[in-house]
Amino acid sequence: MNTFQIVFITFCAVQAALSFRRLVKTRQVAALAFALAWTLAIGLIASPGISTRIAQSVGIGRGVDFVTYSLLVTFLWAHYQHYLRYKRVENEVTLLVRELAIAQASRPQGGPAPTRRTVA
Amino acid sequence: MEHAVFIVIPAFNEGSRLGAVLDDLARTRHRIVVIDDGSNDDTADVARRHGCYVLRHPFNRGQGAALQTGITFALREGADVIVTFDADGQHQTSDLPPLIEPILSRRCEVALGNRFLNGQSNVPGARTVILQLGRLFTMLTSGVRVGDCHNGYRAFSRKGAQALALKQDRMAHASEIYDQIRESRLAYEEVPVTIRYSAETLAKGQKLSNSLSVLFQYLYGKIAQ
Repeated sequence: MNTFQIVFITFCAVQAALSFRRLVKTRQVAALAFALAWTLAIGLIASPGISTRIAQSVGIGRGVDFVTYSLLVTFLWAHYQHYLRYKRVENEVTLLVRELAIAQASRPQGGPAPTRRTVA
Repeated sequence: MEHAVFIVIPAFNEGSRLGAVLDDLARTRHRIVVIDDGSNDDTADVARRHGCYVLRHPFNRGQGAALQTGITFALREGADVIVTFDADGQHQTSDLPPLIEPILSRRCEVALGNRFLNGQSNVPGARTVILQLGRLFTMLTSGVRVGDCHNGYRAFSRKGAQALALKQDRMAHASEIYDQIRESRLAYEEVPVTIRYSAETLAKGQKLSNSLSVLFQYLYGKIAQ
């Protein structure tokens, strides 16, 4: 095992342990996914031949290419999911701000009485 | 029968220009709703001193969000007609009666201001090019045939305003309005209005870089829906 493998496997092992601990505490699917991802990373770094065999089985020559393509797709998917979540939160913040502004609206003194109607 | 006309004005740091706009609008005797979109200046105080309804976003959410806040408030207050109006003095109060006339006479649900119809707006050449490109984009994406685009001077009937549900918080709401006009099959008309540009409003308004930003906001917003 070379220095690169020792450093990165140690790092991944710590992350995997933290993710498993969070999984036990929270039972969140995300924690399970991260724990599995870190464990997979340990396997691929410890035994680079695995990724090469997988790559060749799906028609890609090099293991590193297989890992790169997989990471690219995963990051794009994760980015999109985060964007959707961000937009949802943004919309919720706006709705909250709107209702707050309406509830605290100041009216002109001596102005016409409101003719409130129910609005969908 | 007297119609309850509400003029909705989104304003962000417009304290220095809003007073003159409100002085001019006071002649109309319509109800004025100013939405202070998290300004750092005295925008809300100016509006209060002028006897407006004042709604304040605790922090900035964008013009689209502010407009929807004002429209929702006006509907709850019983508005029959809602006019959207800019806070920076570009819109002319004299255009208000012809703008709301198609709504009052029930010819349509939405009256869209068009700055190119009467030839009196001092639209700079570069701005004209950007607006015409925007107009083509609007016609392609929404199918609504218009001669102007992103003109903030509009009037809605109660039914038309109720059909609006703006989710684009920032400037792309102007394109979203066309989409919702088509989706709700609202009858619309274009009405000539005069837009007076000044050095200040030109510095603040849409530039090519802003237009690209609005385009991306619109497309990203579409993806997220």
